Amino acid sequence: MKKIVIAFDAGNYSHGAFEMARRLNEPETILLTGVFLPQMELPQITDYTYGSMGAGYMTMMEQYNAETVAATVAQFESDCVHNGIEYRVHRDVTGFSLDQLQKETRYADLLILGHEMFYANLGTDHPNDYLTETLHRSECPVLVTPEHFRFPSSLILAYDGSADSIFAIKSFAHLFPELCTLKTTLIFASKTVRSQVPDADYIEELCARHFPDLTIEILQADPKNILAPGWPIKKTQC
Amino acid sequence: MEPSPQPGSFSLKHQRYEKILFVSAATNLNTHALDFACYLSNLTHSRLTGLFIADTESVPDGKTAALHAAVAAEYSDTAPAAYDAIYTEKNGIAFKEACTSREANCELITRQGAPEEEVVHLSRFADMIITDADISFTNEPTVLPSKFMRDIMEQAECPVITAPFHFEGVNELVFCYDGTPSSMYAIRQFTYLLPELKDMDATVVMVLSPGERPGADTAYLDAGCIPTILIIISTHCRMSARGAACWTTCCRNRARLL
Repeated sequence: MKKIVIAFDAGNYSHGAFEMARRLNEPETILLTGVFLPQMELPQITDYTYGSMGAGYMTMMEQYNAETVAATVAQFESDCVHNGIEYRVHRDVTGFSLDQLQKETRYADLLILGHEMFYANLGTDHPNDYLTETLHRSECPVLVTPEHFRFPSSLILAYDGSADSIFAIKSFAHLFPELCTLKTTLIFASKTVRSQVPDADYIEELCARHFPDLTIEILQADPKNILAPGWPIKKTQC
Repeated sequence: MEPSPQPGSFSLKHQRYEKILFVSAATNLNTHALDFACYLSNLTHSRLTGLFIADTESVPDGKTAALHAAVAAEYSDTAPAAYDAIYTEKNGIAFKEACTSREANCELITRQGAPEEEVVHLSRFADMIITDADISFTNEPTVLPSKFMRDIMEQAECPVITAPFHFEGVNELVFCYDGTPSSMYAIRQFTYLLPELKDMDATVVMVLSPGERPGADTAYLDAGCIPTILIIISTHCRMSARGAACWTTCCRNRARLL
Protein backbone atom coordinates (compact mmCIF):
# COMPACT_ATOMS: atom_id res chain seq x y z
CA MET A 1 0.00 0.00 0.00
CA LYS A 2 1.41 3.35 -1.02
CA LYS A 3 1.06 6.42 1.13
CA ILE A 4 0.12 9.35 -1.07
CA VAL A 5 -0.10 12.95 0.08
CA ILE A 6 -2.47 15.32 -1.64
CA ALA A 7 -2.06 18.98 -0.76
CA PHE A 8 -4.63 21.74 -0.92
CA ASP A 9 -4.39 25.32 0.11
CA ALA A 10 -7.53 26.37 1.87
CA GLY A 11 -10.28 27.32 -0.49
CA ASN A 12 -8.60 25.82 -3.57
CA TYR A 13 -9.80 22.24 -3.77
CA SER A 14 -8.37 20.46 -6.80
CA HIS A 15 -10.78 17.92 -8.29
CA GLY A 16 -8.13 16.97 -10.82
CA ALA A 17 -5.65 16.02 -8.11
CA PHE A 18 -8.24 13.95 -6.32
CA GLU A 19 -9.26 12.24 -9.55
CA MET A 20 -5.65 11.16 -10.07
CA ALA A 21 -5.55 9.75 -6.54
CA ARG A 22 -8.80 7.90 -7.19
CA ARG A 23 -7.40 6.29 -10.32
CA LEU A 24 -4.19 5.31 -8.56
CA ASN A 25 -6.31 3.63 -5.89
CA GLU A 26 -7.82 1.23 -8.43
CA PRO A 27 -4.94 -1.17 -9.16
CA GLU A 28 -3.67 -1.09 -5.59
CA THR A 29 -5.30 0.51 -2.58
CA ILE A 30 -3.57 3.59 -1.23
CA LEU A 31 -3.53 5.56 1.97
CA LEU A 32 -4.40 9.11 1.00
CA THR A 33 -3.33 11.86 3.35
CA GLY A 34 -4.94 15.22 2.75
CA VAL A 35 -2.74 18.11 3.81
CA PHE A 36 -4.54 21.41 4.19
CA LEU A 37 -2.31 24.44 4.05
CA PRO A 38 -3.08 27.99 5.11
CA GLN A 39 -4.31 30.39 2.50
CA MET A 40 -1.73 32.88 1.24
CA GLU A 41 -2.78 36.48 0.86
CA LEU A 42 -1.15 39.73 -0.08
CA PRO A 43 -0.81 41.94 3.00
CA GLN A 44 -3.39 44.57 3.63
CA ILE A 45 -0.69 47.14 4.28
CA THR A 46 1.22 47.81 1.09
CA ASP A 47 4.43 49.25 2.56
CA TYR A 48 5.89 45.89 3.60
CA THR A 49 9.46 45.69 2.43
CA TYR A 50 11.97 42.97 2.95
CA GLY A 51 15.52 43.98 3.84
CA SER A 52 17.91 44.14 0.92
CA MET A 53 15.34 42.85 -1.52
CA GLY A 54 14.37 46.42 -2.13
CA ALA A 55 11.28 48.52 -1.85
CA GLY A 56 8.14 47.06 -3.25
CA TYR A 57 8.97 43.45 -2.35
CA MET A 58 5.97 42.45 -0.34
CA THR A 59 5.91 39.56 2.07
CA MET A 60 3.04 37.13 1.90
CA MET A 61 0.76 36.63 4.84
CA GLU A 62 -0.37 33.16 5.76
CA GLN A 63 -3.96 33.17 6.89
CA TYR A 64 -5.76 30.22 8.35
CA ASN A 65 -9.46 30.62 7.88
CA ALA A 66 -11.04 27.83 9.90
CA GLU A 67 -14.33 27.92 8.04
CA THR A 68 -12.73 27.77 4.61
CA VAL A 69 -10.45 24.93 5.62
CA ALA A 70 -13.32 23.04 7.19
CA ALA A 71 -15.26 23.20 3.94
CA THR A 72 -12.28 21.92 1.97
CA VAL A 73 -11.70 19.10 4.45
CA ALA A 74 -15.35 18.14 4.29
CA GLN A 75 -15.18 17.94 0.50
CA PHE A 76 -12.06 15.77 0.71
CA GLU A 77 -13.55 13.43 3.30
CA SER A 78 -16.75 13.10 1.34
CA ASP A 79 -14.87 12.21 -1.85
CA CYS A 80 -12.72 9.65 -0.03
CA VAL A 81 -15.70 7.96 1.60
CA HIS A 82 -17.67 7.97 -1.64
CA ASN A 83 -14.79 6.30 -3.51
CA GLY A 84 -13.76 3.91 -0.77
CA ILE A 85 -10.31 5.42 -0.23
CA GLU A 86 -8.62 5.09 3.16
CA TYR A 87 -7.61 8.56 4.21
CA ARG A 88 -6.10 10.79 6.87
CA VAL A 89 -6.43 14.54 7.39
CA HIS A 90 -3.47 16.67 8.45
CA ARG A 91 -4.01 20.35 9.17
CA ASP A 92 -1.17 21.42 11.39
CA VAL A 93 -1.17 25.20 11.36
CA THR A 94 1.68 25.70 13.80
CA GLY A 95 4.41 25.93 11.20
CA PHE A 96 5.06 27.62 7.90
CA SER A 97 3.11 25.88 5.18
CA LEU A 98 5.97 24.77 2.95
CA ASP A 99 7.98 23.52 5.90
CA GLN A 100 5.01 21.45 6.92
CA LEU A 101 4.48 20.14 3.42
CA GLN A 102 8.15 19.21 3.12
CA LYS A 103 7.90 17.11 6.26
CA GLU A 104 4.78 15.41 4.91
CA THR A 105 6.62 14.43 1.74
CA ARG A 106 9.43 12.91 3.80
CA TYR A 107 7.00 10.28 5.01
CA ALA A 108 5.13 9.73 1.76
CA ASP A 109 5.68 7.81 -1.45
CA LEU A 110 4.10 10.43 -3.67
CA LEU A 111 2.75 13.98 -3.56
CA ILE A 112 -0.10 14.97 -5.86
CA LEU A 113 -0.71 18.63 -6.67
CA GLY A 114 -3.30 20.21 -8.89
CA HIS A 115 -1.20 22.87 -10.53
CA GLU A 116 -4.13 24.95 -11.71
CA MET A 117 -5.51 25.30 -8.20
CA PHE A 118 -2.45 25.24 -5.95
CA TYR A 119 -2.28 28.76 -4.55
CA ALA A 120 -4.07 29.92 -7.66
CA ASN A 121 -4.76 33.28 -6.06
CA LEU A 122 -1.06 34.21 -6.15
CA GLY A 123 -0.99 35.11 -9.82
CA THR A 124 -1.37 33.69 -13.26
CA ASP A 125 2.15 32.37 -13.79
CA HIS A 126 2.38 28.60 -14.28
CA PRO A 127 3.97 27.25 -12.27
CA ASN A 128 3.61 29.90 -9.61
CA ASP A 129 6.36 30.52 -7.05
CA TYR A 130 4.78 28.31 -4.42
CA LEU A 131 4.43 25.38 -6.80
CA THR A 132 8.02 25.82 -7.97
CA GLU A 133 9.26 25.96 -4.39
CA THR A 134 7.24 22.87 -3.49
CA LEU A 135 8.75 20.94 -6.38
CA HIS A 136 12.24 21.88 -5.23
CA ARG A 137 11.72 21.02 -1.59
CA SER A 138 9.68 17.86 -1.89
CA GLU A 139 11.42 14.75 -0.56
CA CYS A 140 9.32 12.35 -2.62
CA PRO A 141 8.24 12.31 -6.28
CA VAL A 142 5.57 14.85 -7.20
CA LEU A 143 2.72 14.22 -9.63
CA VAL A 144 1.40 17.51 -11.02
CA THR A 145 -2.04 17.17 -12.55
CA PRO A 146 -4.35 19.48 -14.49
CA GLU A 147 -8.00 19.77 -13.51
CA HIS A 148 -9.24 17.88 -16.56
CA PHE A 149 -7.27 14.97 -18.00
CA ARG A 150 -7.47 11.47 -19.34
CA PHE A 151 -5.64 8.84 -17.33
CA PRO A 152 -2.38 7.94 -19.09
CA SER A 153 -2.59 5.26 -21.75
CA SER A 154 1.07 5.63 -22.76
CA LEU A 155 4.24 6.96 -21.19
CA ILE A 156 6.88 9.45 -22.31
CA LEU A 157 10.21 9.35 -20.49
CA ALA A 158 12.28 12.49 -20.94
CA TYR A 159 16.02 11.83 -21.00
CA ASP A 160 18.75 14.43 -21.44
CA GLY A 161 21.73 12.37 -20.33
CA SER A 162 21.80 13.87 -16.84
CA ALA A 163 21.81 11.97 -13.58
CA ASP A 164 18.59 13.75 -12.62
CA SER A 165 16.68 12.44 -15.60
CA ILE A 166 17.79 8.87 -14.92
CA PHE A 167 16.86 9.20 -11.26
CA ALA A 168 13.39 10.36 -12.29
CA ILE A 169 12.95 7.40 -14.63
CA LYS A 170 14.02 4.94 -11.96
CA SER A 171 11.75 6.57 -9.39
CA PHE A 172 8.78 6.28 -11.73
CA ALA A 173 9.50 2.62 -12.43
CA HIS A 174 9.79 1.80 -8.75
CA LEU A 175 6.70 3.78 -7.77
CA PHE A 176 4.33 2.79 -10.59
CA PRO A 177 5.21 -0.74 -11.66
CA GLU A 178 1.60 -1.26 -12.76
CA LEU A 179 1.96 1.53 -15.34
CA CYS A 180 5.26 0.31 -16.75
CA THR A 181 3.53 -2.11 -19.09
CA LEU A 182 2.02 0.78 -21.07
CA LYS A 183 3.47 1.72 -24.41
CA THR A 184 6.53 3.77 -23.51
CA THR A 185 8.65 6.21 -25.48
CA LEU A 186 12.02 7.35 -24.23
CA ILE A 187 12.75 10.73 -25.75
CA PHE A 188 16.19 12.21 -25.91
CA ALA A 189 16.38 15.83 -26.96
CA SER A 190 19.24 18.25 -27.16
CA LYS A 191 19.69 21.72 -28.58
CA THR A 192 23.09 20.70 -29.89
CA VAL A 193 23.41 18.25 -32.76
CA ARG A 194 24.37 14.84 -31.45
CA SER A 195 25.00 11.71 -33.40
CA GLN A 196 23.86 9.43 -30.59
CA VAL A 197 22.24 9.36 -27.18
CA PRO A 198 24.71 9.75 -24.28
CA ASP A 199 25.30 6.41 -22.56
CA ALA A 200 22.86 4.89 -25.04
CA ASP A 201 23.59 1.28 -24.18
CA TYR A 202 23.17 1.84 -20.47
CA ILE A 203 19.92 3.80 -20.59
CA GLU A 204 18.47 1.36 -23.12
CA GLU A 205 19.39 -1.58 -20.91
CA LEU A 206 17.93 0.03 -17.80
CA CYS A 207 14.67 1.14 -19.38
CA ALA A 208 14.14 -2.10 -21.26
CA ARG A 209 14.18 -3.98 -17.97
CA HIS A 210 11.41 -1.85 -16.50
CA PHE A 211 9.33 -0.95 -19.55
CA PRO A 212 8.58 -3.99 -21.71
CA ASP A 213 7.02 -2.00 -24.57
CA LEU A 214 9.75 0.55 -25.13
CA THR A 215 10.55 2.79 -28.06
CA ILE A 216 13.46 5.20 -28.17
CA GLU A 217 13.21 8.47 -30.06
CA ILE A 218 16.02 10.89 -30.77
CA LEU A 219 14.91 14.42 -31.51
CA GLN A 220 16.94 17.47 -32.33
CA ALA A 221 15.05 20.23 -30.57
CA ASP A 222 15.09 22.47 -27.56
CA PRO A 223 14.10 20.25 -24.62
CA LYS A 224 12.04 23.08 -23.13
CA ASN A 225 9.74 23.05 -26.12
CA ILE A 226 9.64 19.38 -26.90
CA LEU A 227 6.67 18.49 -24.74
CA ALA A 228 4.75 21.63 -25.56
CA PRO A 229 1.24 21.23 -26.97
CA GLY A 230 1.27 20.51 -30.64
CA TRP A 231 4.66 18.84 -30.75
CA PRO A 232 4.61 16.17 -33.46
CA ILE A 233 5.61 13.44 -31.03
CA LYS A 234 1.93 13.16 -30.19
CA LYS A 235 1.22 12.02 -33.72
CA THR A 236 3.86 9.33 -33.69
CA GLN A 237 2.51 7.89 -30.46
CA CYS A 238 -0.63 6.49 -32.04
CA MET B 1 3.47 -9.49 -37.06
CA GLU B 2 4.94 -6.42 -35.40
CA PRO B 3 4.98 -3.15 -37.32
CA SER B 4 8.29 -1.97 -38.65
CA PRO B 5 9.95 0.61 -36.42
CA GLN B 6 9.98 4.20 -37.57
CA PRO B 7 13.28 5.65 -38.82
CA GLY B 8 15.36 6.73 -35.86
CA SER B 9 13.49 4.52 -33.44
CA PHE B 10 13.41 0.89 -32.42
CA SER B 11 11.29 -1.24 -30.16
CA LEU B 12 12.43 -3.43 -27.31
CA LYS B 13 10.12 -6.03 -25.86
CA HIS B 14 11.45 -7.73 -22.77
CA GLN B 15 10.11 -9.02 -19.53
CA ARG B 16 10.35 -6.35 -16.85
CA TYR B 17 12.83 -6.83 -14.05
CA GLU B 18 15.35 -4.86 -12.07
CA LYS B 19 18.98 -4.30 -12.79
CA ILE B 20 21.15 -5.55 -9.94
CA LEU B 21 24.88 -4.93 -9.96
CA PHE B 22 27.10 -7.30 -8.04
CA VAL B 23 30.41 -5.49 -7.61
CA SER B 24 33.56 -7.48 -7.00
CA ALA B 25 37.28 -7.08 -7.34
CA ALA B 26 38.17 -9.05 -10.44
CA THR B 27 40.93 -10.90 -8.65
CA ASN B 28 39.08 -11.52 -5.38
CA LEU B 29 35.59 -13.00 -5.58
CA ASN B 30 33.64 -13.11 -2.32
CA THR B 31 31.41 -16.18 -2.60
CA HIS B 32 29.39 -15.30 0.52
CA ALA B 33 28.39 -11.97 -1.01
CA LEU B 34 27.62 -13.71 -4.29
CA ASP B 35 25.37 -16.14 -2.46
CA PHE B 36 23.38 -13.22 -1.08
CA ALA B 37 23.27 -11.49 -4.46
CA CYS B 38 21.89 -14.63 -6.10
CA TYR B 39 19.20 -14.80 -3.42
CA LEU B 40 18.02 -11.24 -4.15
CA SER B 41 18.27 -11.86 -7.88
CA ASN B 42 15.99 -14.87 -7.64
CA LEU B 43 13.69 -13.09 -5.21
CA THR B 44 13.10 -10.19 -7.62
CA HIS B 45 13.28 -12.30 -10.80
CA SER B 46 16.08 -10.04 -11.97
CA ARG B 47 19.21 -10.63 -13.92
CA LEU B 48 22.34 -10.35 -11.83
CA THR B 49 25.04 -8.33 -13.52
CA GLY B 50 28.47 -9.18 -12.19
CA LEU B 51 30.78 -6.19 -12.41
CA PHE B 52 34.37 -7.35 -12.06
CA ILE B 53 36.81 -4.50 -11.80
CA ALA B 54 40.56 -4.66 -12.15
CA ASP B 55 42.23 -1.70 -10.52
CA THR B 56 44.78 -0.41 -13.00
CA GLU B 57 45.13 3.01 -11.44
CA SER B 58 46.63 2.45 -7.99
CA VAL B 59 50.16 1.23 -7.28
CA PRO B 60 50.26 -2.43 -6.03
CA ASP B 61 50.96 -2.69 -2.33
CA GLY B 62 53.44 -5.08 -0.76
CA LYS B 63 51.09 -8.02 -0.39
CA THR B 64 49.79 -7.66 -3.92
CA ALA B 65 53.32 -7.67 -5.24
CA ALA B 66 54.06 -10.80 -3.19
CA LEU B 67 50.95 -12.44 -4.58
CA HIS B 68 52.11 -11.66 -8.09
CA ALA B 69 55.44 -13.30 -7.29
CA ALA B 70 53.69 -16.43 -5.99
CA VAL B 71 51.58 -16.70 -9.10
CA ALA B 72 54.65 -16.16 -11.23
CA ALA B 73 56.15 -19.25 -9.67
CA GLU B 74 53.13 -21.31 -10.68
CA TYR B 75 52.77 -19.82 -14.14
CA SER B 76 56.40 -19.34 -15.08
CA ASP B 77 55.59 -18.93 -18.74
CA THR B 78 53.15 -16.09 -18.10
CA ALA B 79 54.07 -12.44 -18.27
CA PRO B 80 53.57 -10.56 -14.97
CA ALA B 81 51.05 -8.25 -16.57
CA ALA B 82 48.74 -11.19 -17.22
CA TYR B 83 48.54 -12.41 -13.63
CA ASP B 84 45.43 -10.42 -12.85
CA ALA B 85 43.88 -11.60 -16.10
CA ILE B 86 44.29 -15.20 -14.98
CA TYR B 87 42.49 -14.55 -11.72
CA THR B 88 39.85 -12.51 -13.49
CA GLU B 89 39.13 -15.35 -15.88
CA LYS B 90 39.00 -17.93 -13.10
CA ASN B 91 36.69 -15.76 -11.01
CA GLY B 92 34.50 -15.08 -14.02
CA ILE B 93 34.02 -18.80 -14.53
CA ALA B 94 33.36 -19.28 -10.83
CA PHE B 95 30.79 -16.45 -10.91
CA LYS B 96 28.85 -17.98 -13.78
CA GLU B 97 28.99 -21.47 -12.30
CA ALA B 98 27.78 -20.17 -8.94
CA CYS B 99 24.88 -18.31 -10.56
CA THR B 100 23.96 -21.31 -12.68
CA SER B 101 23.95 -23.65 -9.70
CA ARG B 102 21.69 -21.21 -7.85
CA GLU B 103 19.43 -20.81 -10.89
CA ALA B 104 20.17 -17.09 -11.06
CA ASN B 105 20.05 -15.34 -14.42
CA CYS B 106 23.39 -13.60 -14.82
CA GLU B 107 25.76 -11.72 -17.06
CA LEU B 108 29.33 -10.64 -16.51
CA ILE B 109 31.00 -7.32 -17.21
CA THR B 110 34.71 -6.76 -16.67
CA ARG B 111 36.24 -3.32 -16.43
CA GLN B 112 39.69 -1.91 -15.96
CA GLY B 113 40.43 1.45 -14.45
CA ALA B 114 39.67 3.37 -11.27
CA PRO B 115 37.12 1.21 -9.38
CA GLU B 116 35.25 4.07 -7.71
CA GLU B 117 34.70 5.92 -10.97
CA GLU B 118 33.52 2.80 -12.79
CA VAL B 119 31.04 1.82 -10.10
CA VAL B 120 29.66 5.32 -9.59
CA HIS B 121 29.10 5.72 -13.31
CA LEU B 122 27.35 2.37 -13.68
CA SER B 123 25.30 2.91 -10.52
CA ARG B 124 23.47 5.66 -12.35
CA PHE B 125 21.95 3.01 -14.60
CA ALA B 126 21.31 0.37 -11.95
CA ASP B 127 18.50 -0.22 -9.47
CA MET B 128 20.74 -1.49 -6.72
CA ILE B 129 24.32 -2.48 -5.98
CA ILE B 130 25.26 -5.48 -3.89
CA THR B 131 28.76 -5.88 -2.56
CA ASP B 132 30.55 -6.91 0.60
CA ALA B 133 31.68 -4.58 3.36
CA ASP B 134 35.34 -5.52 3.12
CA ILE B 135 35.65 -5.27 -0.65
CA SER B 136 39.08 -3.95 -1.45
CA PHE B 137 41.38 -3.79 -4.42
CA THR B 138 44.49 -4.18 -2.34
CA ASN B 139 45.61 -6.88 0.03
CA GLU B 140 46.40 -4.52 2.86
CA PRO B 141 44.41 -4.92 6.10
CA THR B 142 41.37 -2.69 6.11
CA VAL B 143 38.76 -1.48 8.56
CA LEU B 144 35.10 -2.22 8.00
CA PRO B 145 33.58 -0.99 5.87
CA SER B 146 36.52 -0.64 3.52
CA LYS B 147 37.49 2.71 2.05
CA PHE B 148 36.13 1.64 -1.32
CA MET B 149 32.83 0.65 0.26
CA ARG B 150 32.57 3.96 2.11
CA ASP B 151 33.27 5.86 -1.08
CA ILE B 152 30.64 3.91 -2.97
CA MET B 153 28.03 4.41 -0.27
CA GLU B 154 28.64 8.16 -0.42
CA GLN B 155 28.76 8.58 -4.18
CA ALA B 156 26.61 5.84 -5.72
CA GLU B 157 23.46 6.95 -7.51
CA CYS B 158 21.42 3.91 -6.51
CA PRO B 159 20.89 2.07 -3.23
CA VAL B 160 23.86 0.00 -2.03
CA ILE B 161 23.19 -3.22 -0.13
CA THR B 162 25.99 -4.68 1.95
CA ALA B 163 26.02 -8.45 1.80
CA PRO B 164 26.17 -10.18 5.18
CA PHE B 165 29.19 -12.29 6.05
CA HIS B 166 26.96 -15.28 6.68
CA PHE B 167 23.60 -15.71 5.05
CA GLU B 168 20.87 -18.32 5.32
CA GLY B 169 17.80 -16.35 4.29
CA VAL B 170 15.70 -13.36 5.32
CA ASN B 171 13.24 -13.98 8.14
CA GLU B 172 12.37 -10.48 9.29
CA LEU B 173 13.23 -6.87 8.54
CA VAL B 174 14.78 -4.32 10.88
CA PHE B 175 14.87 -0.70 9.75
CA CYS B 176 17.14 1.79 11.47
CA TYR B 177 15.48 5.17 11.94
CA ASP B 178 17.00 8.22 13.57
CA GLY B 179 14.49 10.86 12.52
CA THR B 180 16.57 12.14 9.62
CA PRO B 181 15.31 12.47 6.04
CA SER B 182 18.09 10.09 4.99
CA SER B 183 16.89 7.27 7.20
CA MET B 184 13.31 7.67 5.95
CA TYR B 185 14.52 7.77 2.37
CA ALA B 186 16.42 4.53 2.89
CA ILE B 187 13.33 2.80 4.26
CA ARG B 188 11.26 3.93 1.29
CA GLN B 189 13.86 2.81 -1.22
CA PHE B 190 13.96 -0.62 0.36
CA THR B 191 10.21 -1.04 0.00
CA TYR B 192 10.34 -0.07 -3.67
CA LEU B 193 13.21 -2.36 -4.54
CA LEU B 194 12.15 -5.42 -2.60
CA PRO B 195 8.34 -5.42 -2.50
CA GLU B 196 8.52 -9.22 -2.32
CA LEU B 197 9.44 -8.83 1.36
CA LYS B 198 6.50 -6.61 2.22
CA ASP B 199 4.62 -9.30 4.16
CA MET B 200 7.50 -10.05 6.50
CA ASP B 201 7.56 -8.88 10.09
CA ALA B 202 9.13 -5.46 10.04
CA THR B 203 10.55 -3.51 12.91
CA VAL B 204 11.60 0.10 12.98
CA VAL B 205 14.31 0.70 15.54
CA MET B 206 15.11 4.08 16.98
CA VAL B 207 17.91 4.47 19.50
CA LEU B 208 17.42 7.20 22.09
CA SER B 209 19.54 8.55 24.86
CA PRO B 210 18.29 8.02 28.41
CA GLY B 211 15.50 10.46 29.13
CA GLU B 212 15.07 11.41 25.50
CA ARG B 213 11.56 11.15 24.09
CA PRO B 214 10.75 10.21 20.51
CA GLY B 215 9.77 13.17 18.36
CA ALA B 216 6.29 13.74 17.08
CA ASP B 217 7.48 12.67 13.64
CA THR B 218 7.48 9.04 14.70
CA ALA B 219 3.70 9.12 14.39
CA TYR B 220 4.12 9.35 10.64
CA LEU B 221 5.84 5.97 10.55
CA ASP B 222 2.74 4.09 11.54
CA ALA B 223 1.00 4.54 8.21
CA GLY B 224 3.49 3.50 5.59
CA CYS B 225 3.44 1.07 2.74
CA ILE B 226 4.61 -1.90 4.79
CA PRO B 227 3.44 -3.20 8.16
CA THR B 228 5.62 -1.61 10.78
CA ILE B 229 6.11 -2.16 14.46
CA LEU B 230 7.71 0.77 16.16
CA ILE B 231 10.21 -0.04 18.84
CA ILE B 232 11.83 2.68 20.90
CA ILE B 233 14.76 1.43 22.85
CA SER B 234 16.48 3.56 25.42
CA THR B 235 20.10 2.65 25.78
CA HIS B 236 23.29 4.04 27.17
CA CYS B 237 25.06 3.00 24.00
CA ARG B 238 25.60 5.29 21.10
CA MET B 239 25.19 3.80 17.63
CA SER B 240 28.68 2.39 17.66
CA ALA B 241 29.36 -1.28 17.13
CA ARG B 242 28.45 -1.78 20.78
CA GLY B 243 25.22 0.13 20.33
CA ALA B 244 24.31 -1.81 17.24
CA ALA B 245 24.88 -5.05 19.10
CA CYS B 246 22.70 -3.75 21.91
CA TRP B 247 19.66 -3.01 19.82
CA THR B 248 20.11 -6.14 17.78
CA THR B 249 19.92 -8.15 20.98
CA CYS B 250 16.87 -6.24 22.04
CA CYS B 251 15.19 -6.96 18.74
CA ARG B 252 15.89 -10.62 19.10
CA ASN B 253 14.22 -10.56 22.46
CA ARG B 254 11.28 -8.82 20.84
CA ALA B 255 11.39 -6.06 23.42
CA ARG B 256 8.77 -3.54 22.50
CA LEU B 257 8.79 -0.30 24.36
CA LEU B 258 6.67 2.39 22.83
